[in-house]
Amino acid sequence: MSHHRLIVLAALIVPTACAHRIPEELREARASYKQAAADPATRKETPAELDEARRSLTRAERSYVVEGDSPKTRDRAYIATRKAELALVMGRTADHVEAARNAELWQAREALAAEQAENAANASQLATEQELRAEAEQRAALAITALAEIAAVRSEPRGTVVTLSGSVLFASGKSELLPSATSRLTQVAEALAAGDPGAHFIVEGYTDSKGRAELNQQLSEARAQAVRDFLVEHGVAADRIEARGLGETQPVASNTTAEGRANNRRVEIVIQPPSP
Amino acid sequence: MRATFFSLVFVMFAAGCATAPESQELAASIASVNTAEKLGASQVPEAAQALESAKHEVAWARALIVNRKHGRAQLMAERAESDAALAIALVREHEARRAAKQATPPGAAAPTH
Repeated sequence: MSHHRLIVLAALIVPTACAHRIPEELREARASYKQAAADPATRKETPAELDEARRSLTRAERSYVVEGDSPKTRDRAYIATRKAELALVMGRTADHVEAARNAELWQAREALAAEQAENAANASQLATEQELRAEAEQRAALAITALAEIAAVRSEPRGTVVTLSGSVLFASGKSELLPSATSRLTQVAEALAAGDPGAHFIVEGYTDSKGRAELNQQLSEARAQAVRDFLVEHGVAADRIEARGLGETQPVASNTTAEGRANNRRVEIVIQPPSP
Repeated sequence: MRATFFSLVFVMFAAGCATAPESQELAASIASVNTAEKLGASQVPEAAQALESAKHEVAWARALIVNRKHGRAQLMAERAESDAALAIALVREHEARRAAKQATPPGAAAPTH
C-alpha cells in the first residue's frame, strides 16, 4: 500500500469522524437551558419546570454519549429544548401577572391618595371658612358693644337695632343733621364699618303723629337718607346700606305725651347679619 | 368480484384504524393538543408554530406506531406533548402580557416593586 492510498483513505475517514459531531438539536437544547437557568424570573417563579428541563437535557446528553447522533438523541434534545422554553415562558408569564397586579395595586393606591388629598383640602377649606366666620362674628359683637355705649341697642328677629333719638340728630321739622350729631354718628359709622363685613344695614326714619302723615312720611325718608349719606361718607360701603322712611306708622310710645312723641321721633339702624 | 375486493379493502382499512395502537403517551399528547387548540393557540402568533409542530408530531407518532417503531413513537409522543405544553404556555403568556398592558395606564410606569 502506497502512501498515496493511505492519504486517500484518511481523507475518506476524517470527514466521517468529523460528521460525528454534536447534533444541532443538542446544541440548541444546551443553549436554551443555559438561557432559562440564567433568567432570574424563571429561577424564581418556575423552579420545578427549570429542574424538569435540566433532567431532560441530562437525558439527551446521556443519549448522545450512549447512542451518538441518533434520531432518538435528537428527539430527546428537542424535548429538552421545549422544556427549557416552557420554563422561560412560564417565568415571563408569572412576571406579567405580577406586573398587572402591581399596576392595579398602584392605581388603587393613587386613587386613595387623591381622595385623601381632596378630603384634606376640603377640611382645610372648611376650617378656613369657619375661622373667617368666627372672626367676623367676633368683630360684629365688638361693633355692637361699641354701639351700645353711644346708642340704645336691642336684639330683634330682623337683626340688631340701634336707635338714635331724633332730637339729637335733627332740628324740629328739618332733615339736615345737627352739628352736634356728627360725633355720635361718626362713632356709629366706625362701628358699622368695623363690624361683620357680611352684614347689611337699613336706616329707618320715624316721626311722631303731629302734622300731616304725608309730610311726616317725607320727613322720615329725608332724615333716613341724611343719616345713610353721612354713614356712607364716613366709611360704610354704599351697597351695604339703604334708607327708608316709615313716617308715623310705627310708634314705640304714646303720641299723647311730649315724652312719648320724643321717643317716637327716632332713627333706627337695623344690622342684618349675613344670611348663612 | 370487484365489489368484494373493495369491501375487503374497506374492512381492512377500518380495522386498521380502529386497532391502531395508541400509547398512553400519545393519548396524553393528543389531549394537550386539543387543549391548546381550545385555548386558541392557532390565533396567537407565538403559539401557532408550537401547535403546528405538536400536531405534526402526533401524526408522526401514529405512523411510527403503525410501523412498529414503538421506542421512537414514544419519544415522538413526548415531543408532541412538549410542543403542546409550550403552545398552551405561550397562549397564557400572551394573555398575561395583554392584561398587564391594560392594567398599566399609558404614560404611567408602575413601580417595579
